Amino acid sequence: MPSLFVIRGRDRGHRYNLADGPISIGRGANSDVRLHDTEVSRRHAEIRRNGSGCQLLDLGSSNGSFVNGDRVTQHELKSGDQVLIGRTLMLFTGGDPDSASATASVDIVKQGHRDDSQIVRTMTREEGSRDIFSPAAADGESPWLARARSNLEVMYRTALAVSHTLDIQELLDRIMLLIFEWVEADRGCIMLLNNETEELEPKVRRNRSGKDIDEKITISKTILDYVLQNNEGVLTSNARDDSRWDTGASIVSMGVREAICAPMRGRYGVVGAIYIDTFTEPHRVIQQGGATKFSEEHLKLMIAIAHQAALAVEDTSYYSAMVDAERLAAVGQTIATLSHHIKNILQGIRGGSFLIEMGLSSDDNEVVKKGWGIVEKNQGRISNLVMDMLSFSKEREPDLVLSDLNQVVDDVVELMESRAMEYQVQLNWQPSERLPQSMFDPEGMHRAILNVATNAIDACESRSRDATDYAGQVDVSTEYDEAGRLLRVVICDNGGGIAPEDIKQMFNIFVSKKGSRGTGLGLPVSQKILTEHGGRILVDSEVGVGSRFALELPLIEEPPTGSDMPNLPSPDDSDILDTRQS
Amino acid sequence: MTESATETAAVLIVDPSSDSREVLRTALAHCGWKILEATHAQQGLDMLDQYHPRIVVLDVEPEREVAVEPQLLEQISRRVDAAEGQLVVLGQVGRAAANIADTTMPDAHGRQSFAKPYQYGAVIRKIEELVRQAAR
Repeated sequence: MPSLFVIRGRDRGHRYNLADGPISIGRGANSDVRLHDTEVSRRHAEIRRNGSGCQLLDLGSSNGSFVNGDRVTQHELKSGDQVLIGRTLMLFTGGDPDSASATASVDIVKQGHRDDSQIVRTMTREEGSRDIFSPAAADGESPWLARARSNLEVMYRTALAVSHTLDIQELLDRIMLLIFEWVEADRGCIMLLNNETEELEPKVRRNRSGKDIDEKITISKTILDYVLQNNEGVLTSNARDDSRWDTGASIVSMGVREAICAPMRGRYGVVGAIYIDTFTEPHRVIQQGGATKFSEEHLKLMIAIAHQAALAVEDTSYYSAMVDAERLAAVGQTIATLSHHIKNILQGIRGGSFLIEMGLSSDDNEVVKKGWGIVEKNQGRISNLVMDMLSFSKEREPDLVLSDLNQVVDDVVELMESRAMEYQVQLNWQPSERLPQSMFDPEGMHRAILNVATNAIDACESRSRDATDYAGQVDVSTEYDEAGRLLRVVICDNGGGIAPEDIKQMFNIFVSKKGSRGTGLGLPVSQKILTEHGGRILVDSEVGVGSRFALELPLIEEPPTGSDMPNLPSPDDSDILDTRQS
Repeated sequence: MTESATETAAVLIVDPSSDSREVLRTALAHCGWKILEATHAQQGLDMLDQYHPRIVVLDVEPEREVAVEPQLLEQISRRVDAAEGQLVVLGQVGRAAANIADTTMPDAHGRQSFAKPYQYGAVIRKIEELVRQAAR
C-alpha cells in the first residue's frame, strides 16, 4: 500500500498508509494525515488514488505544497518523492505494481528440478574482503591501479563499518577511526546538524593519539558555512593562498595549513560534516619539498565516505524515530486499555455504591447486600488488575520455597468457588495423592493458576449465555510425571473453546476475548511466571468442545542444608508454549 | 405518572454487564415498572420488535472491547424513533455512530447519553423523567 513516512518535523517517524479514497492532509483534527505543524493549513492537501498511482492536490493552502523542492498544485507522485507540507517533510512510497509480476516470473525450485548446478565454493564475508584486497594482487600493478584498489578498499570498509550498527555514536566513532587509519590527519571531527537549532554539533573528535583528547579543536566557521551552503567538499592546503578565504580571518588566526571538510549529504539533505586537518611545520615542508599531505584524491574519497556516513546516519535516525513512534504507540495503547478496564471497574463500584445507598435509605437489606456484592466483585477485579500489572512489569527471580502444589491449587479452587457458583459452573477439584513437594514460588504460582482457572470459568459463563441446555464444568487436577520429573496442574473446561488463530495470539499482552472482564494480562502473566520457573503452559482446545490448559513445573528438590539455592532450568523459548489443536 | 402509564411502561435494558443490569433493574423495580433485559444489541433489537418498550437503555460502549456496531445502533435508533420511544445511551459512541444517532434521534426526542463512568442516580432520574413524559 502506498504510504507517506514523515522524515522531518514534529511527526517524524509516523507512517501513514494511503488507503483508497481521498486522503486529506492538514492540521485539522479530522484530517486523515494530521500534521502537528503550525505552518500547515487545516485542510492543506489531498492525495487521490487513481488506479495504482497517487496524485497530490494542494487545496489552496497558505504555504503551498512542494514535491522534491518544487511547488505544486497537482502532482503525480512517484516512489521516493519528497513531499514538503509546511515544515514537515515526508517520503512517499508507492505500492509496487511490478512486485506481483516479478513473483509470477520467478520460480524457486528444488535442486534437481531442470537444474544440475552444484555449489562448488562457499565464502564468508570476511574471507571475501580479504581476497579482494590481498597484497599479492598488488604486485607489479601500476600506481594508478594501486591507488584505485586502495580507494576501493577504503570505501568497502566504510560500507562495512556503517552497516554494522544502529547506534549513531558508535557509527561515527567507526567512521572517524577508519579515516585516521587511511589518511595522515592530525585532528578530526564529525559534526551533525541539530534539526531544531539547525546548528552543527560536534559528535566525535579525534587526534592521532586517540579519541579522548583534551586539546580543543577549533574549526573555521567560514569553511563550515561554505561547505553547508554550497554542499561542496573543500580542500585547503594553505588557506591564505585561496581566494575564497580572503575574508576568513579565522583561518589565518588558527594557522590551518591543510584541511578537508566534506558535507554529509544523505538522501534528504545535509545531516552534518566531516572535518580533518593537519599541520606541517615549516622545516618539514622544506624537507618534503613542498609536498602536501592532503590531495584532491583524499578530498574525493572523503566526500564519498561522508555520503556513506550520511546515508547510515539517516537510516539509523529514521529507524530510531520509527522505534520511538512504535514505543509511544504502545504506551498509548497500554494507557488506553488500562483506562478502559479501570473505567468499567469504577462503573461497577458506582453501581454497587448506588444500590447500597438506595438500600440504606429505604431500609432494604437485600438491596444493600446486592450493592455490596457488586462492590466486592469490582474490588477483586481492581486487585487482580494491579497484581497482574505488577507481575508482568517486574523482572524477578521466583522466591523458591519448598511448597505443596496441591495446597496452592486448593487455595485457588476455594477462591474460585463463589465465582463458579455465581456463573452456575460446576467446579471439580481432583488433587493427586502422589504429588511430591517441590521448590517453587507459591505466591507466583497461585497467581498463574488463578488466572487460568478464572478464564476457564469465564469461558463456561460465556458459552452459557449463547447456549440453552448447557451446564458449564471446570475440572482442576494435579499430576506428577515421574519420568519427566514434572508437576502438572491441569484445568479443563467445556466452554466455547479457542479458535486456532486465537491460540497463537492469546499469550500476547492485552489480547483478550473476554472484553474488559479480561484485561489481556492474565495469560501473559501466567506464562511469565511459569517461564521464570523453567516451566511452560500447554494448550489443547477445540471450538465448541472446550479447552485444556496444563501448567507444567519442573520438580526441584530442597537443597541440603547449607548449600546454595538450586538453579532454575532454562526453558527453551520455542518450547514455552506448545499448542496442540484438535 | 398516571396509573395507565405505570401499567404499560416497559424499559428495555441492553447491557452485557450483569452488574449494570442488576443495578438498573433493582432501582427501576422499586418504581413498579416492567423491566426487560438483553445482553447484547442484536438481542435488544429482537426484543424491541417483540415488546415495543417505551424506553430503551443501550450501552454502546460495553465491557466487551468491541463497541456496538454502528449499523446495529442505527437500526435500534430507527426502531425506537419509529415507535416514538426514547433512547438512553450509556457510554460514548464513535464518530460514525454518533452521526447516525444525531440524524435519527434528535435531542428534541429526548435522546440522552451518559459518558462512562456515569452516576446511576442521574441515569435513573432521566429514565423516570422520560417515562413521565411518555405518560402525558
